[in-house]
Amino acid sequence: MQQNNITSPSGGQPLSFQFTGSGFEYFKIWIVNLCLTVITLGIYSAWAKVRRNRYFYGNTQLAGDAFEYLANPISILKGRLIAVAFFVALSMSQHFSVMLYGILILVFLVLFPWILVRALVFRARNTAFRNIRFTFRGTYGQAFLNFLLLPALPAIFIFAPMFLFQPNAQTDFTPMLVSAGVGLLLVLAFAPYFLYRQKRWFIDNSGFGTDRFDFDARVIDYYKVFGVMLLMILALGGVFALFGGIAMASLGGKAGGDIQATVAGYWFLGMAAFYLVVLVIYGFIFAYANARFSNIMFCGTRIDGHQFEADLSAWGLFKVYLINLLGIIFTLGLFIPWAKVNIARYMADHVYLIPNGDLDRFVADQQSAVAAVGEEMGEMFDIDIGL
Amino acid sequence: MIEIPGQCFDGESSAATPAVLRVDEAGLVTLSIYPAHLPLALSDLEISERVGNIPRLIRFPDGAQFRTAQNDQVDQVLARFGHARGSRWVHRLESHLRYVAIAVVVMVIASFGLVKYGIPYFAKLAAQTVSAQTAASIDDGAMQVLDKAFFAPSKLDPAIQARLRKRFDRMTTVAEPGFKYELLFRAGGPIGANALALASGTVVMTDEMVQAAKNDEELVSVLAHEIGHVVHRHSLRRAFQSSVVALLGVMLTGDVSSVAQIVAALPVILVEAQYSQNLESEADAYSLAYMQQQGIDPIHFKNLMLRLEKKHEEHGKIPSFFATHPETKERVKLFERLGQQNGASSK
Repeated sequence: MQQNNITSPSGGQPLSFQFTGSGFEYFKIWIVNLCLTVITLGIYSAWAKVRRNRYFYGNTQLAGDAFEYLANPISILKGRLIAVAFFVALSMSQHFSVMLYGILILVFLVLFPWILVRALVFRARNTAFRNIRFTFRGTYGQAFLNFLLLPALPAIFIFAPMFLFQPNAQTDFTPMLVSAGVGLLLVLAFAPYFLYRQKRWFIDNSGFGTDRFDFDARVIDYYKVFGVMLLMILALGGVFALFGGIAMASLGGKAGGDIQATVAGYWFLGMAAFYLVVLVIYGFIFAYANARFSNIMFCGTRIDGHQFEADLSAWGLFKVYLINLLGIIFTLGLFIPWAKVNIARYMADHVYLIPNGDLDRFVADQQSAVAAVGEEMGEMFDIDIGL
Repeated sequence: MIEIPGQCFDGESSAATPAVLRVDEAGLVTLSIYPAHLPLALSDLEISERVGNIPRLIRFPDGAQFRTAQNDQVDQVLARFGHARGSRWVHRLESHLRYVAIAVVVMVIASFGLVKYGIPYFAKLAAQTVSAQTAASIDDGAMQVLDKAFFAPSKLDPAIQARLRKRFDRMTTVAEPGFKYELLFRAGGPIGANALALASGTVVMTDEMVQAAKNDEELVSVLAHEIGHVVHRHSLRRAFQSSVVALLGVMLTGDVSSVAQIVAALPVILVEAQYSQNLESEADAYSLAYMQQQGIDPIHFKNLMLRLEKKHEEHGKIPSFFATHPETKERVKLFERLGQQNGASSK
């Protein structure tokens, strides 16, 4: 039975999010979803998505009340069909016509901000809490600026020289390299700021009922996390250089006749171990970035005086990733549902809401229904829309 | 009378009100906090389908929502008074281990069948409906890209080039018309002794390949193989197959974290290698049929292949499940057997 203990004003006691789903329960839903999707040649995937999201939203609770996913599978199916058609056209054109492929990529780039906005609107409109829906009010222009134009600016320095110069044997490549270097530095210098702008755009334009979310995270925090990430990557590069040097030195020591056979024997094993080590370290950096950026975002988000908090840790998230990775490898993928539940539970356990009074005062907003085209295209092309 | 406890949300504010939903013996529904409401029939309500054990939502015509965790009670009410609507059978599938086990088996068999037979079959069917002219027109510009990326101009003696072109032209007169057949020679550079076919009908043979051959019959067997790729529209099928496989990959792994997606890329590579091997075998079969028809001993193909393999072995070998071509030993078996038969019959 659900307890409704938050209607009485509770001053400032943090409310933890809770995830109540179980891996085995979701496994059964997941496998039936997959099975019906395969049998119906993909048609069922729209219904599968609704069931999957309803399971995860419905098991995510705040103050004893679950979130709701309300999307209509038919509108998802329509969007999905358009996305599939575009995906196949893009994928086919890659094999045949460079020209057509380029045109389609350009079309996609122009459409991308629109797809992103529609996806966020669709998702917000179809998410509810206590029978009040979420909203999203971002515009095409802002999406274009934050997700295409600004991130693309440094790229001009990298790619422009390739079009300006017609290189031949006598070309001095120094200006090209300098320009590319400047571009790369600009990317590094501005990436945290661009990320901050994207998150700010997303949160500031999101709302619940008639209330809007507020974003007051500081840019400097994004730079700090980014700096640590960069240091970790540099350290990783140093370690590789060291190991590479050792390997080379040990090879050079016995440069005899049948060195080829010896090398070939250990080559595969060595490559596999190397791949695994890189994957694990990459996983840790990924976990670190994910944990810290999530913390910054949640701690900088408020609505109607209610403040979000989060205390995800790099190490904790990394352990979840590692267990998921090993589980998926050793079960040939059957562990995927548990993996997804593990992540949802970890996230819910480490995100809080510090309420300002009770959560009863939100008022519904009236908006018309939207089509799912954007959301489905976003999903097909693997666009990570965050949060 | 069935009484189901839960909460009510009016849809206008986020306030929650404890409430009891009552269903009487006639299947009529009333809500404790709205005594003024007339009893409603079940068909007037929108009752969410059951997914696992998440709370059930019951929506009233005015937008108010009753929510309860008592899933079993709601199911009882639906079983007694509900009209056969919605897909309760999906939840039944999901909640019985027996059905889940069947689903696992069905899914494994269905995915295997789809990947192994379904996709290649539909790709072939689709490619056959495309006319030769259309198939030939889709790779404009591919040769320029290849020239930029791999090839250098051929250094082969023009007399040899002319001789092989003449042979090639004779071969294409018996092949399916409509393609723009053309034989080009290039210095192979990084790809070494090799030959390849474009969708248009253009066949490229590297100088290294010509030098590796002991006689023209060996090269004819390779050219026939490449013409096989053209008339069977393999570029089209390859593009179609890999698009669909990539799509399947996205669909199946769409809800996994990105670390796991790196692992999931492996099956896609394996499947594409398998498809590629199948197309190569088909081109081999075309070559074999041509050689038999023209009375050329198939043993020439085997000789050239083994010689090339010996050359490649010096650079190490890729395990066969990753390779784009079948194992040479497997490939030449058929040519060898038929070669012996031919030899025996001509004596």
